[in-house]
Amino acid sequence: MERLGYIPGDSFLHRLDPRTKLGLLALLSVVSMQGKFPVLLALTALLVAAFADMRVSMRGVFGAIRYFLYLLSGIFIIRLFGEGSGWLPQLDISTAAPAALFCWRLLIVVLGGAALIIATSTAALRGALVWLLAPIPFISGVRAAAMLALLVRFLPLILDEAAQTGEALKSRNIEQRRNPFIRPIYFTGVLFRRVFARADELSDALQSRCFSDNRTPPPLRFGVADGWVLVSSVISMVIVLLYL
Amino acid sequence: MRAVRQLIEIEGVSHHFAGGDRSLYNVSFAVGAGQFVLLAGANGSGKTTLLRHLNGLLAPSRGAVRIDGLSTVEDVGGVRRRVGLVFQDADSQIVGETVWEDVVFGPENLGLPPTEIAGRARRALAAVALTGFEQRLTHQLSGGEKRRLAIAGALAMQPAVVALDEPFAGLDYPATILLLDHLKLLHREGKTILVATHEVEKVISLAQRLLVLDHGRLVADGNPAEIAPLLGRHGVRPPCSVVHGGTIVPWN
Repeated sequence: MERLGYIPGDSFLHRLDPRTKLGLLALLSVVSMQGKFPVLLALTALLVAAFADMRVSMRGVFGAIRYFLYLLSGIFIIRLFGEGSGWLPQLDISTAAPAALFCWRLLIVVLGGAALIIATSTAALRGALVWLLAPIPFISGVRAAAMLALLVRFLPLILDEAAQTGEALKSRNIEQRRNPFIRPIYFTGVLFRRVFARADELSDALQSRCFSDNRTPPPLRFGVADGWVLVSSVISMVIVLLYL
Repeated sequence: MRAVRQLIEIEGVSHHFAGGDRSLYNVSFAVGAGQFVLLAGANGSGKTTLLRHLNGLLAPSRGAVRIDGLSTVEDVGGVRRRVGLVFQDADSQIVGETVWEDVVFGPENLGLPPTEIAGRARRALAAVALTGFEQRLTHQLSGGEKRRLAIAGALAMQPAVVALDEPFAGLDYPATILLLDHLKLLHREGKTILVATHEVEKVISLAQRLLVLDHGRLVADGNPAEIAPLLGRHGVRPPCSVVHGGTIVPWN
């Protein structure tokens, strides 16, 4: 898996209503921030099981979130250093366990988000977003959801454009130039031109297909399984927050 | 004899781009319902500009464009429901993450009920042989599949006119044959088809009428067999069979 994105499937998570999945992600975030070692272990096991059910390898997931893992490593290292007596920070090995626990909590939240992205189509997320934003005045849920859908659709294309632009510059020996600013100047100039041209084409495509704010939202189905999952998750959260 | 209803009416259309460049000069023609029209011209001849006028994406600097009696300036929404435009670059047109999401995009914009949307999407996918592709991710489709999806996206709006801009660009031989078969089928079903291309050889045998644009001017309009030998004068390669003194033959 190169990038995180929706993977069509029929896993348990795929079948849940997108609103349920968003609710679960919120609960997962709260519980992972409050829970202790056994709770984090249980959450990790649940996530691993969910990825296995979706037939997605953990290696693939970690590959897709590698940049976050680099960031997490940085956070871990920074938290290893305590305040020293002087102006230099001092390495404090005793903070290793709490630092690892903190990083583990963040990782669980990100893995939960990854599971949500893999198991939920943009259309379903769009439907959930329209539903969630409907009661909020002055915010067009339809417009916000459309922006999300277009971002998800066009981000891979922009990344492809960037890769192609980079290769085109390399094929014409840009690396031979000694001035370090030449490469970013050419790269950003060309990339921006191509991305804006594509944005114009997209605007035409949306207009030609009668894009409007009064779109029919994608159908959402809150089933019995959704109810059970949400109720049991809320009960679990309460137990964790009160007793564990 | 019963008069053919004029579905597309273009009257004295000129188009000026910002900066003063002119792309179309006093272009006039009409297309009857159910016709298969080939719009030929070299690069920069104004084909794409003309197609964008049909869909109301551009407004004429002079003249008027009417689709089924509706002005592209006064009732752009009505016009867009009647003209399905398939862009040259399918990637720019596909807005859905999955095939299903993309095909339902247009009908959702029309505010149709979900059952109607699903029915239209299924029929549109069947028309371009993409049934079974519903859950496929659009960025993983081949060039030919993307082109067919772009056509399905237009068909789901149930337009009377299907206008395609350089539909064969980047397609290999099997994908081109498949696309030609679908165009034949759509025409048989009564759709008015307008294909803009410089690769006339591939599609000329299906066309009932050939229009030629040269530097923004409509320089020929009539029977493809009569006009094909003259294409070379306007920067368009005539079909091979015609070059060798023969008649137009199907491309396969």
